[in-house]
Amino acid sequence: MRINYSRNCTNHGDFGQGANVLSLRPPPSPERAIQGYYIMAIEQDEIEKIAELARIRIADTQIGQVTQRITEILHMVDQLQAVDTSDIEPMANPLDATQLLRADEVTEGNRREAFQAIAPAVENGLYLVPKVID
Amino acid sequence: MHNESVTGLIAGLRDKQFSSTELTRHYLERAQRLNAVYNSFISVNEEAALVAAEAADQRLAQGNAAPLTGVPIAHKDIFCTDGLRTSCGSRMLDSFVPPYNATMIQRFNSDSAVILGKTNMDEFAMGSSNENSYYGPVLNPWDTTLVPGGSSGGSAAAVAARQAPAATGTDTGGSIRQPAAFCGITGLKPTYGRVSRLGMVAFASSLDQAGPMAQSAQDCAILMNTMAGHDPLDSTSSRNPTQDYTASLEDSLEGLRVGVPREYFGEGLDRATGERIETALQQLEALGARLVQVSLPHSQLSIPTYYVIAPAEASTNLSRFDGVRYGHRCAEPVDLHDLYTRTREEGFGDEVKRRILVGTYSLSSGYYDAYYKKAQQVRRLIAQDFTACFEQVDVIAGPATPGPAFPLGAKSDDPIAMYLEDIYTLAVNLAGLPGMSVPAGFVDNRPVGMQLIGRHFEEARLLNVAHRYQQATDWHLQQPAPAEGGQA
Repeated sequence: MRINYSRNCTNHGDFGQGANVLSLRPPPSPERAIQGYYIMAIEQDEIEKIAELARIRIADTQIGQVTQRITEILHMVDQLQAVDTSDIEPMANPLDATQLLRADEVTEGNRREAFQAIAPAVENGLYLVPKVID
Repeated sequence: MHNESVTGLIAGLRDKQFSSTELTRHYLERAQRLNAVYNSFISVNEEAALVAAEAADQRLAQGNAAPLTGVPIAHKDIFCTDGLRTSCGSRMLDSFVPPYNATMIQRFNSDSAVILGKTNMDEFAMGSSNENSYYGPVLNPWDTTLVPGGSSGGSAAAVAARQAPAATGTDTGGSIRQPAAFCGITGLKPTYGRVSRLGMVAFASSLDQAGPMAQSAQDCAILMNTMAGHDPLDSTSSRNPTQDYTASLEDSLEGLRVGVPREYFGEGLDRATGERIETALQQLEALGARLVQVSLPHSQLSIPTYYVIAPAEASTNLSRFDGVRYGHRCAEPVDLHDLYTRTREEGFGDEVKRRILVGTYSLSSGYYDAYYKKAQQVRRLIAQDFTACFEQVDVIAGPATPGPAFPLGAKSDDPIAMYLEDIYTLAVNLAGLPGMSVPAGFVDNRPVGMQLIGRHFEEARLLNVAHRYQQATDWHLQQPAPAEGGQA
């Protein structure tokens, strides 16, 4: 997947993982957003790209309905664009707590066998996946 | 026996009216038999529960029992239980038997409480009706054509049907309070970080919180004494000291300032439900509280804010399900890509997929600022509304839900209508505050819940208000009619 469009993406907060890279149409300008027409209908091909990023296969028979539902949700979420949030610090943790660090010490025992016992496919202590390199 | 509160069962065990083994057998039988009617349990813990009950009886005989020693408790199937399947309501974890206990489970075990079984829930706690479970919907014991609420619907139904004296749940946007309201029981969502999240399958990490669900505030307080506390293995667990949550239950409400947010009584609230809540507020007034009109101006924005933040965090958390280390794996994958995409197609249900997709979208490059960051900013505005209110009042009270339980199937095809169910509860999670639902009457024989919201770490005060209210009312003592063939 290549970057087609990107804006500065610095603050990932404590919980959201790094931004995904996706070839989507750029969002409209903030001016339009404040007028309250921020979201255009999301197209089916975009849902397919998102599903690919999320590693979820969606059957061809389902994609239309999934697109419609997600469009509805994004429309609902669109209300946020009308809110003036200038100078408001994003809130990642409801107590504004910062991440605590602990001493870099080994505190857990090795439970490899217990963990491998619940894996779908293992051999000689290794997790099995389909061949990755030819 | 099954009509007793946790408080009553503790006394009965101490006075040797019955043993934990007898009590556990009684509840196992009810849990099993009534499950055919309500589908409230995913797993009933038959053999291990009796082993635990025997150990509890020994401890009781030795005289070194903890308060909950020997009391059977049902746990939402989101908490990892060593050696006992933990499905999270999902096909993805249908065969998952954790090799460790959630910290919260460990705390109950340390008290020698008995694990009665694991309750049904919306898949990965995503839902407000329990219709999103891989194991089928739970039916509301008050009327089996109605939903029990969700996502902790199995726990709420199990307590209402007296299949368990008490249960645990989790609440990310209302998942303890809404089913508690729909099933006529008492539920508490503690302050964010008050109960450890370790071993609780993660949905939205900045919102998730576990709490007790029981017949009364007093019983919830007893459970909180076991559940709450710092966990060094959960980096978001609070280091604030805990307290004896039963100690202040009897405190007078004289002079208590109760905030009534006007936004919680506007359009969208069922009229009869609103009337019940107003009566409940008058009751608080009669107990000495003073009602103060307050405003939470950003309330309406809690739905769009939540439906950016929760899916974003969910898409991140659920990326761990890859068919490699544990859980479901598709048959005969042709390559790694096929393994991931087909495993996740088969393992996740529709609502979970939708939220992963919305979350993936909102965290995408170019969209992150417009969605995730924007929602985090509005989240602060929502939290600031509460901070301002709590300068004027001690607790906030209002409805827990816009109306009583709705029929099965009524909203299952309309995600947005389902999301609106949580209009009064979501903001509490966004702000990390403690919130409760307390039975406050009926509309057409359907229970109604009053919500109480407190300042951070003021669970004891909420329990105090709820307890005093429950001493003056008997809504929490009402029970659904026994299911056909369900009378013990």
